[in-house]
Amino acid sequence: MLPIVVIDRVLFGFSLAIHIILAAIGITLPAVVLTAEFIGIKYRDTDYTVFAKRLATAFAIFFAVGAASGTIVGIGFVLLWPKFMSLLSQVAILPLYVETFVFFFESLFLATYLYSWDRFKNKYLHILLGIPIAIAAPLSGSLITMVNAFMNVPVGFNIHAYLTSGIVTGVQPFAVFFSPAALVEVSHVVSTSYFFGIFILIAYAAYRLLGERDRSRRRYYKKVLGLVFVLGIIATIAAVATGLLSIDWMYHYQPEKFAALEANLYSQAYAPERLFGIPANGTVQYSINIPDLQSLLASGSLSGVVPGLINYPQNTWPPLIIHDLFDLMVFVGFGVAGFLALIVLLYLLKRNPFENRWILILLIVSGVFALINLEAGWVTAELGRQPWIIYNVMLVSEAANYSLSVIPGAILILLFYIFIIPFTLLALRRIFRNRQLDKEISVRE
Amino acid sequence: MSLLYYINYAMFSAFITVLTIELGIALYGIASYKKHSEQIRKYLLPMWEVVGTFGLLYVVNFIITYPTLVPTLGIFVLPALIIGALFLIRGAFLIYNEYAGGGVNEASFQQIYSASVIVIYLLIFSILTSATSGIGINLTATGISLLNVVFNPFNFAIFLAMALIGLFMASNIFEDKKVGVASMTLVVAAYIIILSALASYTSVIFVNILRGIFPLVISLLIFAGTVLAIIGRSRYAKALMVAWLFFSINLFGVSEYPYLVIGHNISILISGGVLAQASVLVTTVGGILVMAAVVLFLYFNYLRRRY
Repeated sequence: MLPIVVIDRVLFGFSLAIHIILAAIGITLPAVVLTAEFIGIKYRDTDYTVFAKRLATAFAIFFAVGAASGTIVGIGFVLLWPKFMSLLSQVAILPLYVETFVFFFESLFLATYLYSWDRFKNKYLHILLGIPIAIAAPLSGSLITMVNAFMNVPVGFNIHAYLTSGIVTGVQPFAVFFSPAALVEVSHVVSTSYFFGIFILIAYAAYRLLGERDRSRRRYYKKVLGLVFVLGIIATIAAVATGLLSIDWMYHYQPEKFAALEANLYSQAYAPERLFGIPANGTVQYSINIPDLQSLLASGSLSGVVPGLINYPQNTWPPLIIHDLFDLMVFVGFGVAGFLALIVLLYLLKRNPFENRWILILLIVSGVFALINLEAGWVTAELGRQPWIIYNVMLVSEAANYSLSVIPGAILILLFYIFIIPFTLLALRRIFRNRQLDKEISVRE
Repeated sequence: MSLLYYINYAMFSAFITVLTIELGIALYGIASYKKHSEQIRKYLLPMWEVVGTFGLLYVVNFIITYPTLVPTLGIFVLPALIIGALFLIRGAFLIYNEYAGGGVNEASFQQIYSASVIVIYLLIFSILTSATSGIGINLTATGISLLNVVFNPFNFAIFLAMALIGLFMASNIFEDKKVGVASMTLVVAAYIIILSALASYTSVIFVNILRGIFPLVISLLIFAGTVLAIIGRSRYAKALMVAWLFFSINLFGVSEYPYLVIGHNISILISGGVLAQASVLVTTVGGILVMAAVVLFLYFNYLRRRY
């Protein structure tokens, strides 16, 4: 049988893998809804208003499922990793605590926003009710990410004293908000969440446009695609920029992780960038090597020295699979960015790209790539910290709950997630089938 | 006891208050959804997410207040994970029901929602009654017997009493004055059941309540005021009803019950130091902001319909 700690990891990893999808959508949708609502009111364009309203319904459903899923992850934190939570609650729990208030805020404003849609004489006032939601959603994600940043770069207590005596001293409760990792991680997590969420919308709009023949519905989906495409360009630029910052940060603060990402067994200058390959003995074989590029990207100089795994105890090396996952993430990200640039070029050449069947198909595929990117990025980040749950302070194996009760709980949670996600998508499909688009557009017109 | 203890208990009381109201509505959802579907939707839809959020707020605050108790509470991993999964079902089915529109069996969605709320409530009280009485806990094996934790007379008695209170709340929301007045007998029964169960299974709490009798007397007085308000059809009757439940649950907090999970004296486990002070600051600032948002929420959702 699998050791209990592995079951803890599988259960927590699986629930987080699902939850980040819901969370990223939850971060994205309020901003898109408000943008569409604003354009609809400003330009008196009912298509955008209808899109905003339909998307708000989808958001309500994702919010409901996402909030409950977040509760499961929260329970998982407390019960699967009790020793970690015990330390966190003595040192760095304030972001989680503040997040519950922010989430409370979001819930209250969301209920008010959803049920007061057509009750305002001045329609801009309704948008005002939505602004706290659009701020609270990424703020919640940022606060949770600050805890993750603490796990990567622990701050706010006397680490040496804790490691020698097990006693927590020198606590600075607000230090966790300003950990060296916080700003970089928060900016990357938020921007990639928008990237993923918007590409799901791009894929959806492209899919609907592809199979649509009716003129008014084509007009509607083209406008939707145009709007989310523009937002997608912004999100992509932000995701790439913050990704580069993350690499630079890792080079300075988590050299083992950096070395594993780049598959460097030895520390060296003029280091080549190794693309893909098969992990073996602390490096990779059969990789494509670009001379000097790694040193240049990491340090800004061809002669820059990059860290190697050999400088660290072998039992603290992260699994080298993260090298390939990282490359996958980067390639997919740059591939999607290049594809967007191509569409922009076609648009500038007045080729009307959204009328091209193959462009639409590739936009649908880019939604799948965005999902791969999100998951690959997250797995890379988390596996890269292994075997630590708190870097250089607490091992995953030290933090785990070894109670046998975990096993039935794990099975139950896996079954629930397997059931709830397809059911939610089916429910959404059914809801939008019942709410006919033509009717909503004509009523608004 | 420190300020942190009372803040945490007040959050617990707020959570159980809103959850008990939801339990009452869920029981109505099973018993007479067709008759009350519109009223159920009107009350439940804006508030259901708030209930879960109160729960989350309480749990995080509990962890801050009793950080060293967290590893011990790992024994409740199974019921807690089931509660989490049921919260997922609860939220999903309520919202499917709201937006599904024609062609969907609304009543069955509502019943799945209601059933999940009832089981969530039962399991939450299973953890509470087990943590205070020790029933079903085997600390040497660092585990619990889930069957014993859930299916024991103490838990059933408390759950039954709280269900009666939930029905009292819901019947005063959904029914006419006659039924509302009659439902007060449910509360009297609940008082008797709760006090008897406490005397039988956690005598420390019972003795503490009798020793500091004033909170119990105040709880009974507020209930009497609620009765008069309901009979007099006062517009404040519902608010008084909620205040009564909130205060009555706080009664146990005021009794300063010190033991959780057999032998862990929580009065000495309460967090101290700078993080505790910081959490009080966050609670104060966050509490003020959330209260302002709650006022706005009540204004837009229950008081005015057009602006």
